[in-house]
Amino acid sequence: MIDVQDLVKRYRTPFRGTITAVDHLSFKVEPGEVYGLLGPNGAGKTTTLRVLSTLVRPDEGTIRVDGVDVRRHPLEARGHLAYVPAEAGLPPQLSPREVVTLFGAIQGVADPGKRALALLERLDATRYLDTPCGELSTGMKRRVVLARALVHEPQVLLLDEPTDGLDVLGRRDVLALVREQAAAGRTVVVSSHIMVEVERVVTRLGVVARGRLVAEGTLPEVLAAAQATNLDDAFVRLVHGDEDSAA
Amino acid sequence: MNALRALVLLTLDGIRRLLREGIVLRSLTFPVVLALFAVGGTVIAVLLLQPPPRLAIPPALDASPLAADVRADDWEVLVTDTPEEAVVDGTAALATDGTTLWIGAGGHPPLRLEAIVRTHLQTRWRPVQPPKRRAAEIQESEAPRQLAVFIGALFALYGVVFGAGSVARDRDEGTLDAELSTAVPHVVHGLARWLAGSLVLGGFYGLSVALVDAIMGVQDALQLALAGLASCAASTAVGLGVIGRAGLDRGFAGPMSAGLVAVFSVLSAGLADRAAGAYLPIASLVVRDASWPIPLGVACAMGIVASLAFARRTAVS
Repeated sequence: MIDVQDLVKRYRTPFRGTITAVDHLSFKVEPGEVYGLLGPNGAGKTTTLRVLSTLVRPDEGTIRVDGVDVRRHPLEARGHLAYVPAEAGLPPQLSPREVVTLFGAIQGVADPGKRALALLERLDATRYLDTPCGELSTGMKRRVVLARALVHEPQVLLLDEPTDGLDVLGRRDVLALVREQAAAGRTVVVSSHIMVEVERVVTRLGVVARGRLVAEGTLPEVLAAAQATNLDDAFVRLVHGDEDSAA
Repeated sequence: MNALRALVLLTLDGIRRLLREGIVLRSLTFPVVLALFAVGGTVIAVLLLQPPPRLAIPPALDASPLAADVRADDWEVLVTDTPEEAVVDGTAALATDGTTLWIGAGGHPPLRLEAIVRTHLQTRWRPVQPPKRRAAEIQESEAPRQLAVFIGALFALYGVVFGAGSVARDRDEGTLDAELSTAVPHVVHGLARWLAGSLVLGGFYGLSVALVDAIMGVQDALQLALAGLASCAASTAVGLGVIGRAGLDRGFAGPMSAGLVAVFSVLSAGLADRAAGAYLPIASLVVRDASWPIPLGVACAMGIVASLAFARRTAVS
């Protein structure tokens, strides 16, 4: 599970001074849940995921991943999670088999080659097993990136804009995989700004604006809170409402 | 144990990736290949453009049957009061005063000329090696070593590019965050990058030295190859250290320039103070008879420090 309490992350910039990217954000995600982190660009979604994946050190707050404090034990926490950045890429010189096997091997997976093959088969990527990743299509690369993330069977999966740049078929496959991971008991957090995808896959969602959580709950709960009939309208009202109150 | 296993695997992966990049392979093989082609071309040009061997004789022999026969055989005759000196300064391949034959060049044409001279003199003869030739020979044998040192200096600059590029490349390819979010200590990722770059560069430098040695003969070739390995390891560490996490807040060109200046400064320090340079990696490359274990040890320490700096910067962003 994921437990975030009062997370604060500030950046110091040369021209704009100190910027609060995440402002006392709190949420919990239980195993088997798909939590959607929604927000406009610059809302703090990616920073939150990077803090969870130990790539960014928070300024304040307590963050536990699968019961492990990521500030105190980042290395141990990383053993429980997989982070797929929005711009995740692959080494163009290596094949999908080599990439996934390597990530399995360095994380202590028994028989990483067999595990890599099984995952790539599951993701329908066997046609390109030994093709250099530089020659793969965007959709195929995304599948390999997901296989790489899942190779050590993490309990927590953090996906930043996982369907970015994918066509309809690719998006459908990725969302099916997300549901499958949750069904297997994993904790999944998906950040996105594409409402229709969020509606299809999440069990709960949190709307983030200016680094703060402005609404949280199941889809009907968020719609009710925003007094809207669809998520697009709810998103606009929640985000703009927060901006108005901030102004 | 797991960290050690990850270090080995990531290092091998780094080597594999470098060796599969065409531009990397070209940059590593072209210097020695081009240098040897240039040297070979020069040798061929010199042989082709070399004037025919000349025989230097005193004026007293100018009208002799020897001179007539030599001229009849299409050889050039140089008439001088000091035929021996003509051999010493290289203006003639052979010289005789009627009793002594001086030989200043080898090969087939001088031997043919020498046969004509000997037939005419009808006397005992002895080839004399002019004393000045030895000094010239020693100077010539320095050239292959200097060529290998120049290639080593180029590889030292490559090291900065390899060290910094190993991080920037992964950031640009979008693989850095994925790697750093695995359960492997960040310092291991830094060490693997440093080791992979150092081993590939050092290995190719060793091959370059071996190639130059096989063709031209390099004095203390093994010592030079090991000094080169230390140099490559140190410069890769400089590249890794200055770039940190691909300079997310400082860009790429600035840290890269700083690294190149640092490497060039150490190289220059070796030329300026050879006693101190003998103990420094990169500088020891240009110091003759420098020992390699101390520079290699210093380079390893630099690699560890650079990896720790890389890990620290990736942890505080």
